[in-house]
Amino acid sequence: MKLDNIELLEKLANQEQETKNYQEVLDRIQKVSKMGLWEVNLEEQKVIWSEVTRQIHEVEGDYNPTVENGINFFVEGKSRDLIIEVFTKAVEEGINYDVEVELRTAKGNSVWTRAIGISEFEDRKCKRVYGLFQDIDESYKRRQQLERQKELFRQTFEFAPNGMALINLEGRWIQVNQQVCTMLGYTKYELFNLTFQDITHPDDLDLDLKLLDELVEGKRESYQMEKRYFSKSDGLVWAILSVSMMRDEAGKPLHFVSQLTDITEKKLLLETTLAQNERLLNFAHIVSHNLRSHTSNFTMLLSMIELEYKEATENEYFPMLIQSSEKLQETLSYLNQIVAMQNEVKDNTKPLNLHEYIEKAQLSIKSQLNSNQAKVINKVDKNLLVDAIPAYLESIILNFLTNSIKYKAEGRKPKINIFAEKNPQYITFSIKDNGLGIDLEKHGQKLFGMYKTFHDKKDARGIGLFITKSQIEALGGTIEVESEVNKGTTFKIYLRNAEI
Amino acid sequence: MPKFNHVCIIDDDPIYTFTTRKIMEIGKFSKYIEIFKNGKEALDALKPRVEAGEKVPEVIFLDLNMPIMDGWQFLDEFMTPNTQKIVIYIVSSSIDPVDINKAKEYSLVTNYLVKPITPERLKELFDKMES
Repeated sequence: MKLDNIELLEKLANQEQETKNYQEVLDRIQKVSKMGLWEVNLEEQKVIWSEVTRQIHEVEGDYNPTVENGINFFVEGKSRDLIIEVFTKAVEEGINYDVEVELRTAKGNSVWTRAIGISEFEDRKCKRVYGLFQDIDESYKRRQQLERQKELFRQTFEFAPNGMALINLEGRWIQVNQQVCTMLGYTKYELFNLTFQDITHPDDLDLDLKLLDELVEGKRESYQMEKRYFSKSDGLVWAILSVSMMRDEAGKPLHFVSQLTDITEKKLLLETTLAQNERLLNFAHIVSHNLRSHTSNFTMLLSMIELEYKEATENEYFPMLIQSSEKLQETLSYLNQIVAMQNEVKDNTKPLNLHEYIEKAQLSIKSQLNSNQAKVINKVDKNLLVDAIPAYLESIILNFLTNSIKYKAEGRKPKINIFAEKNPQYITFSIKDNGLGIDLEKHGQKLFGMYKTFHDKKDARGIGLFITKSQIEALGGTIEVESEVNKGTTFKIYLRNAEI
Repeated sequence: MPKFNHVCIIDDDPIYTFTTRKIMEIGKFSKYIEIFKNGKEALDALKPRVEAGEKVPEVIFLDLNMPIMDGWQFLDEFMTPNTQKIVIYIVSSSIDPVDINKAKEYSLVTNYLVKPITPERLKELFDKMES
């Protein structure tokens, strides 16, 4: 009996030691896996939390909640509703749960946890629910971010303004967005049954395939080309294609990512413009070679008459004939200048300092400025460079300065303010005067036209602004005008910024 | 006393050649004025003379746009060491910068004149050449 007792005591002691050992192992596991234990004893309405569970909730070391305030740790809304639902089901129906829920800790921090619950029944009555809390905050948030990125990509892919497609290594379309379908006229289903080779114009196929090979071989990161596709209606679609390659972690090619931008309309427009340009040049050629030779003959014949038959010139018609012939020459020469401008500009522009050119222009008309008591205020930054032809820039500035003087207001000394603004592409310089002004409602349309004058000034010939505008446009710029009658006029000239 | 012995006009435009010849006659610019209707005619007549060292025009007024052989072709074919002595003016109604720049590439060409050539301008030109 005694021995039995001793044995029993030893056994108990061993068991106690074993239990203690188990407890230690369990504690360690809990800490490493950030996993805590919990238990709700329904009979005693008692809740027990392990140390790690307490740490997850950020409460004191001896804290154990009631059933109710245990639930209050779950964030109101989805998480709390979910935990109440699954906990109730565990208690009432014996259904175990494993859910992801958000906790608001005692310190007010948000933690995403995995909550596992297991219910224990005795005599068809739930005695106990126990389970695990695991801090999965980091991985959960990472997963959420990944999901958001995936969704972002999906949305970008689907709603991109240009066509986007994933194409496998055999050239089949794996995924296309709606824009690709709209562009090419096929449904997604139809496209999936075609390779891109099937709908590529044969003349563009070789280059495309060559570039794809280089992509696969890693000789290039991406490529861009202009190519033609056959749309479903057999019409040609011009597109700019940009392709890059997706690879797996080992660098093995997975699929191609293609972007397609429809440039069909631009192409057509370009073709029309080129054809129009061609016709314009032909016209210019006719003007310069054929019309000019006839008009110069007129001039020569008239000179001859003057020289040989002086008496024939002494009537009222002769001076008019001379005048007409001169005007004809002049008109042709203006027309020629305009056409010649386009050719001249191509390679002859260079960076020019706007401030300096304005100063230079003032010097060359100094006497005109002085005799009119005109004042020019050059506020243009000394560092601005415009991309222009020297002769054109001189002529443009001079024309506006002399115009401002020519159309000065009665009883007001001409004051011309010049200032400029820099944009990435353009330099906008404004020439503001205090002169007569122009009724833009009446004359706006014809302001820059040839032989359009609207002041009864004797020397207004309506050619200056026409030539000036043509020069500005030949330089790739534009011109705008603001004016108020009797207050003044501001010409705003856009010229290409030479810094780009 | 005429300023030159022999001036040549190569141009297919009869009104131009008529008026220019008249001006030269009235102004007594040259003893002899020879006219060709295109580059080919001029080349066939002038080149053998140049090569044979015979008398050639001192001044040539050359048009650019002509049938059969234009002014450029004429210049290309007319070029021999002996032609260096001849003063050649291009006289054209073209004010195309492409033509004007091209003319600068020909060492034979003294200047590029744009039509019309009025009596005053012609006189100026001859006065300058003389001096």
